[in-house]
Order: sequence, then structure tokens, then C-alpha cells
Amino acid sequence: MVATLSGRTAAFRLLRDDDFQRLCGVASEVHRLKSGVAFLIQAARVVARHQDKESIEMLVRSASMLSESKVLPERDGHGGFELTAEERADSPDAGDIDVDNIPRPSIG
Amino acid sequence: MGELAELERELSGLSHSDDPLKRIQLFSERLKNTSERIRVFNADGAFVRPPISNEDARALGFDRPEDAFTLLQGDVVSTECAFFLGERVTGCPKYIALNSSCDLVPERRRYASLLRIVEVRKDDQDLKAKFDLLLRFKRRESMYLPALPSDGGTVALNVVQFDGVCQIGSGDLLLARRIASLSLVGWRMFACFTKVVLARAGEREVQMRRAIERHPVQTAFDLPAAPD
Repeated sequence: MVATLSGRTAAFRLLRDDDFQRLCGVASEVHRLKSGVAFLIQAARVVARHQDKESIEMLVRSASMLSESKVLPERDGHGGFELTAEERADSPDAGDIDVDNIPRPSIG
Repeated sequence: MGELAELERELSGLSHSDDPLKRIQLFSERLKNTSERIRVFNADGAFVRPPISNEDARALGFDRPEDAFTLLQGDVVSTECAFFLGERVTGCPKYIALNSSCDLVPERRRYASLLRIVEVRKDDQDLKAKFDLLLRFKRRESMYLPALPSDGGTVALNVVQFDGVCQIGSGDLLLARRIASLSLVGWRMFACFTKVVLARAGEREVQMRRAIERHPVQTAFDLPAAPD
């Protein structure tokens, strides 16, 4: 968070966009957690009706499954772009590129 | 099939043609060398441009209710809300919007499709070969995209990957950071790749399908009777 703007009726938080995108991403996990929570509630209802050993075991197992899934499946970035051996062999000498001065289009 | 034969003939030159991609390749071949191709495709406004805003479009008279948009097909965005093979992708990844612009209007669709944008760095040992391959548009599932001003200093170029589609909730996509839009010609080239990746066919497949329909050889399975 970069700053807080406090007004008479409301306060506003200023975030860097990268931080905002990170928060949005974490928030989007909610629907993935929802199904786990629904399963846990169902297990709790079964225990409320049938307090036998198997039902209690199911409740404990479903609760621990949810708590273990704090880290939902994620991958960092998109990985790389690789050439096949044929593509590498097919490439003529492209030695005329000034790698340190590749122009970039202006996008405002 | 009799009544549909004429329709099939009419569609044969349209539905699975890779002619659009060949035209792009031909254009690129006419340019002198890789350096010249970089100059052409990386120029201001040539392939990518600043995000097209709804306000600018309205000022030019595109102010009907159906003209309104937040995002356009081919826009380059960054978000951490998209999923690839069930995994949420983190690390400020870049994507390009695959859906048609009319499907990206708020509340029209629940989900949207994105294609991944991969960065190639300046210290990549195959950098020149990658520039050469991509700027001749030789790989159908990978499209060249220039390095963008918001990219890190080590990025030499970007690649749109058509191999694998990511999913995102439309509401989340509207919160993504818009980095750039495609130029008119960039948008057309992107659509050519999309079409060729989704629907192309070799002549052998066409011949095989025609032969199968003219000389059906398939027979029904004779399953042995189930034991009593």
C-alpha cells in the first residue's frame, strides 16, 4: 500500500497495481475454497445426526484436508519458449541484430 | 449428403485454409532481414499501441450503447486471477485476450479465455534464432510480440503461445491491468493465427475424409452374445 486518503465520509487506500493484482488473485481463490467448506459443513451435519466413530472420523479428515490445502495449486509465471532442434538448424545466421538496442514501441 | 455437397465445396476454400498465415509469412519474407523485420514490427503503433480507451472511441462518434467496451480482443493484460491446467498463475504474468471483443463486454459472459505471453530474455543463447523464427512467423502456435515499455530491461521479445488456453472469470478480467492493445493489422494477424491454430487441415486429411464418405468401409461391430 502506498498511501491512505482520508476524507470526511470515506477513506481510500492507494495500492501499486502489482499489489492490487496479487490481492485480486488471492481473492479469486475463494470459489475454490467454497467447495471444501461446503464438504466440511456436510460432514459436520452428519456428525450432528449420527455421532458414531466413522462420522466423527470423516469430519476430522475433511477438516484436516481443508487446513492442509492452504496453498492451492499455483505456478510461477508461464515458463519459457524453446526452439526445436529442427528450428535451431533451420535458422539462418541472424547476426545483424543489435541486442542492446532493440526498439520498443511506445504505448503511452 | 447430396444436398450438402455444394455447401461443402463452397466451404472447402474457407473453413480450414491456412492462406491468411501464408500471406503473413510472405510479407515477412519480403523484408530484407531480421533487423529490418524488427524495425517494421517494433515501430510505434505498428503491431501494438496504447490501450484503446472507450472514451477515445466515444469522442470519435462510437457512442452507441453497443459500442461500449472495457477490454478488446487482443489486449495485453496482466493478472494473477487466471488459471492454467487448474493452477493459478502468479508472478505478474502477461496474457492476451482471446475472446472476440463483443464477448468481453461486462456481464455478457461469465468466463473468458486468455493466451499466455512468454518473455524471451536478452541473454538467451538462442535469441537471434528465436527472433528469426518468430519474425518469419514460421511456428503456427507461437506469435511474435515486441518487448513492451513496461517489460523489464532484460526482456528482448514476447511470444504469444497458442498452445494451451487459460481461463478467468470475466469479472476478474475486467480488473486486470491493461498494458497494450493490438494495432488494426496486429489484431488481424492475431485472428489469422487463432483461425489457423483452431481450424487447419492438411490436404491428406481432406482426401481421407472424402474417400471415407465416397467408399464407406466401416462395418458394425458384431458383439458376441452375452453369456446367460
